[in-house]
Amino acid sequence: MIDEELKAILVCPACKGDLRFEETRIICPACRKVYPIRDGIPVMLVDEAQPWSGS
Amino acid sequence: MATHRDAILDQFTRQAVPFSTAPGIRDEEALRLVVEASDAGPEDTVLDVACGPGLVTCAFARVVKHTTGLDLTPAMLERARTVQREQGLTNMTWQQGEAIPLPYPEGAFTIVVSRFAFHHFLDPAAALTEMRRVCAQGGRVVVVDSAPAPDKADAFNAMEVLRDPSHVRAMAQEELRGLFHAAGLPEPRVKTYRLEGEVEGLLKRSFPNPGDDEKIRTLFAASVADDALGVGARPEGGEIRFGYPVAVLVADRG
Repeated sequence: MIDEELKAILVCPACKGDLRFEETRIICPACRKVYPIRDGIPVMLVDEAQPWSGS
Repeated sequence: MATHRDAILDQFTRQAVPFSTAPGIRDEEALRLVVEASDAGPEDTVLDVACGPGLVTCAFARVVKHTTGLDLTPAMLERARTVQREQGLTNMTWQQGEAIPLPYPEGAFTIVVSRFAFHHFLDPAAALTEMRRVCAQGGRVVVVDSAPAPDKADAFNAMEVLRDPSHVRAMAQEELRGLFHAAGLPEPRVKTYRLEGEVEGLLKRSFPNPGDDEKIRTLFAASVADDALGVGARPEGGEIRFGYPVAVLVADRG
C-alpha cells in the first residue's frame, strides 16, 4: 500500500528522522513515536502519534 | 474547545464531495494554467500541500513523474483517492498531515504547490517557509489563492468568513508577494484569473452557520451596485454571478 517513492521521502514531522515502515504503522525510532496508517494513508500528525516502546 | 483545526475538519468533511464536483473549481482550464505556470515536466516530483479532493494533485500527476497529496481531512483524502481512480492514475501517494511541519526532508520535491489553502492558514508565512524547505534547488514553489483587491479585501474576507467559518483571511496579491520575500524566495511570476460561479451554487457547497446564508445573499445583491466584494457580482438569467479574483504565484527555488 505504501509505495516506494513515499518510503524514500517521508520523514518524522517532529524530528525529521528516518522512519521504519510496518504494515499498519510507521515508527520513528529517533524520537520514539508511532504514526498510524489508516485505510492505507499514513497519518503524520505529531499530536496523534503514540509513544513507541520497542527497540 | 473548538480549535481552528476542528473548524477545518468540520467544514472540509462536509465540503469533500460538493467542493470537488463544483463546476468552477473543477475547471480544467484553471488546472492546466497552474500546471503550465509551474513549468511541470516528466522529471518533476510534486507535493500538493492541503490538497483537498486532489484535483490539482491529479492534474500534475498526468504530466510529472510522481505526486504526493497532503491534507488534514480524511474525508478529503478519501475523495482524492476516488478522483485518482476515476482518472486511472498510479504515480501518486496520499498522506494525512499538517502544512506546518511537513513530514518531508529538505529538497524532497521539485515542485511544491498549494491551491486555495493559504486563506485557511493561521500562519501563512510559516507555511510558505515550510514549502520552500522541502523544495529542491532549481525547483518551483507555487501558491494559488483568492487575491482580493486591497480596498475590497476586508469586505471579501468578512463575506468568506460567513460562508466558511474556517476561512482565516485571503490576502491581496501584494501581500502574497511579500510572503515570498519573507520566506527567502525571489520575486514570483504572477498570473491571474477569475473563478466564475453563481451565488446559489456557491451556497450549496458551503456550510455557513444557520441564518448566515441570507446575509451572504444580501451582500452579493448589494455588491451588484457598488462591487463592494470585488467579485464583479452581476445579475444574469435570474442568478447572481460573480468571479473571484485568483492569483497564481510561481517562484524559482534558487
